[in-house]
Amino acid sequence: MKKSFVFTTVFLAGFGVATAQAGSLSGTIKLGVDAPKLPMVKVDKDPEVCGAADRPSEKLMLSKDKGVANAVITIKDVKGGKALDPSKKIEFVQQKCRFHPHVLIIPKGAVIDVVNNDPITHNIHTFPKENPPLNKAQPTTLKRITSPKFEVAETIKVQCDIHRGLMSAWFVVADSPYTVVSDASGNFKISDVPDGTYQVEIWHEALGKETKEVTIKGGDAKLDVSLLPKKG
Amino acid sequence: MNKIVMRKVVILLFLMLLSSNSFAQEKSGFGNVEAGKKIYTKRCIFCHGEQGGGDGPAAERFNPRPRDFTMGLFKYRTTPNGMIPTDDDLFKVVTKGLPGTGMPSWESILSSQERRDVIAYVKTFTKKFERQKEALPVIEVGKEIASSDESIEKGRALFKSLECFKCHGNEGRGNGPSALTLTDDKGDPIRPRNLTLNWHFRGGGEAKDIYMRVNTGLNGTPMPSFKDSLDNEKSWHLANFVRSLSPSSRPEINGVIKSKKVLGNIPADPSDPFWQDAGAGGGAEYWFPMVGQVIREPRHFTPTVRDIFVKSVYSDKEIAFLLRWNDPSESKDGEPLPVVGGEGDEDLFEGATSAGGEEKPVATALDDAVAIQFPSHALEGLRKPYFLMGDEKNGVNLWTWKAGRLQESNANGIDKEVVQGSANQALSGGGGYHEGQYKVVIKRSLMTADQEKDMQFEAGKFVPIAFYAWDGHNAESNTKRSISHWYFLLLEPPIPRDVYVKPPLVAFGVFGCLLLLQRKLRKNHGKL
Repeated sequence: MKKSFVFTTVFLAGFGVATAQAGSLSGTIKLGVDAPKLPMVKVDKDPEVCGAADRPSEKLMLSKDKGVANAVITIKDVKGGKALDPSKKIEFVQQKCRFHPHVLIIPKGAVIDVVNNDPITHNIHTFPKENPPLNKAQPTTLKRITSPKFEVAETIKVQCDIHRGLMSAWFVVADSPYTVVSDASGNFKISDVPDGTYQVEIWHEALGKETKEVTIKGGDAKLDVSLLPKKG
Repeated sequence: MNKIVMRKVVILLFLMLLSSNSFAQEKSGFGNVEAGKKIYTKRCIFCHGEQGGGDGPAAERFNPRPRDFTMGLFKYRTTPNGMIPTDDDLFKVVTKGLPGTGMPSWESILSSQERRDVIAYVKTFTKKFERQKEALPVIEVGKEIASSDESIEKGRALFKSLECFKCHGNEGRGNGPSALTLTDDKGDPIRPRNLTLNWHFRGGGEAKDIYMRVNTGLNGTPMPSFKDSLDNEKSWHLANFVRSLSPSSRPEINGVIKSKKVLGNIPADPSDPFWQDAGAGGGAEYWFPMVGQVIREPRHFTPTVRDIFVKSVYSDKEIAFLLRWNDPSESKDGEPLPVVGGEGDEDLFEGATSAGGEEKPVATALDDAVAIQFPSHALEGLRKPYFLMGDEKNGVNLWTWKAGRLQESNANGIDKEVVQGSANQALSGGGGYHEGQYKVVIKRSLMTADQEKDMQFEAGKFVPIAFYAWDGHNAESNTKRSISHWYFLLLEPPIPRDVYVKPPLVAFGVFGCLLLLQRKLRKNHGKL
């Protein structure tokens, strides 16, 4: 992900430069091939908390009509428009040995609260390249941990080592306010986009990266994307 | 009044200037990057690689692998979780080395300035040091709470409530339910530390070191920081408890195992009270270090078993050994292995893209095993067969326990092992696995019919003895094993019964004579 392009955006928006015309972008991310047989994950630790039954892998979650959940959609290089807001309270929750949400968008400069709702210890372990890494134990007596600031835009893998295989997630530190995650049906909507022609980047942990061009001219522009498996 | 305040402010400012100035000097003067590069190229590159990626030509022979400096993740620090280490932290590691790893102590090889220089260079492999503008916060070890039963019990409760056992195991042997799925930040498998052998702790095995580790965590590994859940008191309690899991001092190699004579039967069950009874099998336990077999192909640089503990006793009829070693998993041939990393990174679309859709073979374990080695028969003087499974001239006699099965064999070299015929199989024993540890008893009669192939045991004679161990979970079998040196076994001659009869008789006799002599002298004296 490219850095710093949004600097001007934030700067201008900060000074309240209103955009003349704005629209939105919505659509659905779908899988472009037959749905594979998705692997089940065996719950081999703490079944009384994590649930005894095997659970579907969160690596690729599809709706019945192949909508792809947890894809990250970013409109790149938006000039003007809304400002990035790193002040909003963001919670990242561990419950029943699962991270919620599976993909968390964090505006650059924000901190997050890591919450443990389980009656057992988890450890929140991040694997950033640029931001300071985090690996803290969160026993039942420590309900909430506030993270350090995420200062550099990047995608960060997150896991609990104690429940390795059951608990993984992604932090997407975004330097654009036009970054969203697709819902369980693969749908997404990005609003308040100034008119213009943009590159839209779609990323999914198992399906890789794809870029599309869209033009927004007031109203709601549509972008339906079929993702194909990564090659190699 | 104002003047006094002014003067104070001026003095303060002056002091601040002075201290910040000296700090800056110290920082820039810590080491010379150019000089450090030369040292690095000569001394460090072979393991840590030209670009500091931990990928030098020798890297793959190490477990743990050499540090990848480009990630800026360092395990042994005094700084909070996720942060880079201080210069002093790095200086300590370079100076003292990391016990149990390939990282040696450079204290006697590099001068203190050279060590500073090489650290200055190592810090250039990542931007993280350059980016760190403010002084690093350092975790201080607070006022010590001396170890006591009370402190240890509080620490034990913390070990439970913080769930340290999930990785380190209920008894601390690194065998918790999450232990086998762990990887480091590079994706290489990593095992939680066995907390009962503190001489293997890389960052130091004393309570103050453990205090630091639980607070800092180990960057780049699954070991998290518990700082948010610990204050000074709790840190000490936890550290005192963990320290109490290891012996009070590091065991020393005693080259001669003294086998003590006992009366009656020797129980094959290691949990029998016999093995705790000081008057029977509860005597001295001997410790021996083990290393990977790296002489014959395929070699093994990353063995699991690094220590073996041995006791021996004998009776009129048999000789017995109680072997104790640590292994984080009990494994038997053919059992499926847990996927390291948990979920596995299999390609979701493999079936869709490859026409054949072949099933991947499931990775399976091999048998855990241990073996005792003797010469096949006594040799003249202190001569011994080649330590690694004997040689052409002088063979060895092997007593192997393999996932519960006992077997006697002979070898004249590592690839020349012959199992003895069923008529000659004479071992018995028992034991098994519990909480990260094997305890196994192996017994045989002192004498056998086959004096060429079976070592014969006689009181008072030194018998060479060596050990092997295999962790089936670590793909160890055949040449891939832990090995030890030759040591000696001595069946202590029993104290003959005469000891209780003759000396008192002699003493009594001497005393009697003296008494008589004295009387006679007195009588004579009277006469004079």
